[in-house]
Amino acid sequence: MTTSETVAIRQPRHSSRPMAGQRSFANGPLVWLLPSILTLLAVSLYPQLYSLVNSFRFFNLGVSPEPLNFVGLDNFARAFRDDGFLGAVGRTTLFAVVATTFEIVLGIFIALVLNQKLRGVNVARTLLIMPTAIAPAVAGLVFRHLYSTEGGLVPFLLEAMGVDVPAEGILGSPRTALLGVLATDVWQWTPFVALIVLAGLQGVPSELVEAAQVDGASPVRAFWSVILPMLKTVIVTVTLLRFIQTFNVFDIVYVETRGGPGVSTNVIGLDIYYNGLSYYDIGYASALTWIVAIFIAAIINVYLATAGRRNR
Amino acid sequence: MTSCHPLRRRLALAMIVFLCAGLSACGLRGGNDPNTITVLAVQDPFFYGLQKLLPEFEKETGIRVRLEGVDYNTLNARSTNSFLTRQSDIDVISPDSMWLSRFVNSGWLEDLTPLIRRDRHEVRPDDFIPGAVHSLSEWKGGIYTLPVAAYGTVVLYRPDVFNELGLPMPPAKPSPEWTWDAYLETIKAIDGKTVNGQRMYGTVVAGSGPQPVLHMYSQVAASKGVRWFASFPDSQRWDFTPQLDSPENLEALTYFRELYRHSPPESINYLWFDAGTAFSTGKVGMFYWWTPYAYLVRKSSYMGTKDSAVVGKYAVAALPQEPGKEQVSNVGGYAFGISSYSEKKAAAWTFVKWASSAETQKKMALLPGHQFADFARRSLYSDPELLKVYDYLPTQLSVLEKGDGKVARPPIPNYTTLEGDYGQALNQMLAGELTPQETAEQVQAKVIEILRNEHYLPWRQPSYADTVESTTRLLERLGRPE
Repeated sequence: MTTSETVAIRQPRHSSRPMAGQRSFANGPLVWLLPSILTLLAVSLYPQLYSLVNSFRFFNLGVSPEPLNFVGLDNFARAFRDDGFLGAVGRTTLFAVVATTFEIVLGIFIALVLNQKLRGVNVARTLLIMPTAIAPAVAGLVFRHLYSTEGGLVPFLLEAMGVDVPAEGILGSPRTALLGVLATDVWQWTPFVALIVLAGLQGVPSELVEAAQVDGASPVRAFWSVILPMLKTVIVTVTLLRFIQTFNVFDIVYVETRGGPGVSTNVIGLDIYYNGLSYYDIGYASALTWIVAIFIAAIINVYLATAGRRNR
Repeated sequence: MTSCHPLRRRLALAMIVFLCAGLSACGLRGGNDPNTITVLAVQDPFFYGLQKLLPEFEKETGIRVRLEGVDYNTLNARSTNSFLTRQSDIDVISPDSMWLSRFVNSGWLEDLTPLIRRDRHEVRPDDFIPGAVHSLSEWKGGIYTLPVAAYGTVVLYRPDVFNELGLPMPPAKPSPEWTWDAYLETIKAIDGKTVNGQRMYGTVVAGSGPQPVLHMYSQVAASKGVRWFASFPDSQRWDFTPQLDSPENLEALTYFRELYRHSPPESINYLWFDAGTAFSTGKVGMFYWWTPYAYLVRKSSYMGTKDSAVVGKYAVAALPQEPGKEQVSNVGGYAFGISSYSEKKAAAWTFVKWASSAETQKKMALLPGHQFADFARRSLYSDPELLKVYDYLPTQLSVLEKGDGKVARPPIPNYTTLEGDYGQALNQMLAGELTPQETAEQVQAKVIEILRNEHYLPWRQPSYADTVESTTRLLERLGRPE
């Protein structure tokens, strides 16, 4: 018996109508998904692989419009010698950790308030979504004016409260510029966190909270021991989202300070932008992008592992 | 045999074809209409003037123009990405003068020299100010763009404040007595004084890094004799060894820091127009900046309609000089070139000639409710109608005639990389993070590192002695029959 005969015996020929429960490529879902998969590969995977290849090349448009040669890990090694980039990594990590922490804590607090049956809560919810709906660049422009020493609202209020505002303005002093950018980010994205947590809160069965209260738990205890554990998945997810987004912050910084004064607000996103789209050092910018991607992936995995262990 | 329902197969095929067609359409932004060209330009004042005059051009020529206005950084990114992928979606582009060498070396722009020679009666190359063409359009002996907006540097000041404080007026024409030291002394005399109820700042800087602060600083540095490299571009043998830790640069850095000390503290974050706006609010006694600000400060916002507080209260003066140094005026601006990948080069050339012609430039300047006076053509500086509106044009001409943008900001193809680090260090100096000495040392070390990495040190490629004189001779040759 030949091999082909064996196949013929084991796998009977398909008729033009497949049997119930059997699906071929042509009549299965794959054919419908194929365009989307191809599009995804074209617009997502291909550029990533291309940038990975470029990260190993000397590709600088200030020298040549074509990639010149493979340089191995030179671009990566250069990043670890580059004070500008290393400074940006530290600054961005600080920015991401502080901004995410503020947004999560404030967001949970606002969500708890909005979850109460108070007058005007519906209006507040509607208003809350507005900062999130505007473009970060616009938020940056708005805050640039709010921070201005020439009639800006924020310096006026701070001075009224007895807080010293630097003569150069909040965004003009290396001591306060990052804080100014951070405040803009917190203003814009805390409502997003609040809305997500609010959605989670509305899924918490009220009977559980009531039962805890009947057992003598204070509101704080009920929140800590009943509500918060039930919100854990939501909080972990929104924390991850916000951390990734704040780590990639660009628009607000570009509009408000362009990384200045000095290098006090020079974050990774801006550093990569300048290297890639201003200096056109494509190879180096690609290497920086991959370092950041790996760095974020590592942090997220550590965070997820830690959160998962606690959950268990 | 595997088969599927014919209708499903057709549907799947249709989806794939639709997807491919969609993707192809994305790559054909310029469209296939042979009578429509796409022009990409920065939204400087010239852009708005051209926009208003386009219907005239379209009526005259039958060529439709899709004029796209973008900001400076988008112009750089958008054009580079398009040219790098050899797309034909841009027919005409106005690169910044500092990108010209990179664009030309990459083969992205058409050489306009033969076209200028052929159409010399229309183009009138001898009417262009050589310093403007040299700074904006010429690279290695070829002309790749034609200027539509040439910027020099002038001083804007407040005669009413000077009168009130009993200060001598700065001259409208270059003068040996009008020095950078005199400029600083005047600023110090104004700073902190109250005039007509307004507390005055002596001056204002555009301190934001990297571009605005370097644009402003490079003028003082050039006047004080700072040269970026050992010999480039005005040498038969280019040598990119940096000279940025020279005594001249240290002096210029110290001087610039002093200017900031008499500026609004917030100006450390000022972009180009922020500096102009500060002057237009009436709180600044004197500053130097690109020539478009000589008219832009008349309005309270960029290209706005509301008059500013200084209308009728400011005047334009010549740039101060450094005794013993040859005066160099920075020249920047925009010029139109034709993409090498354009499929409509003839129509694009018709547009470039029209936009850079004296007739169009004059119309742009006299449009109701619009301002523009950034002429690269000499003939317009003596036009009575224009002088009536822009009375400072003789001063502007005097700086452009002395202009050499390639000395103030040498157009090495990786200029933007150097500008990034240099501008950032300048901003750090203003922020007090670096002393002038540290700034000079840091910039020098960084530039050496960049130039070594990018194969400029040592230079092993051909050189070309690029001077205003060589451009002058080129323009003369192009203006004559062969």
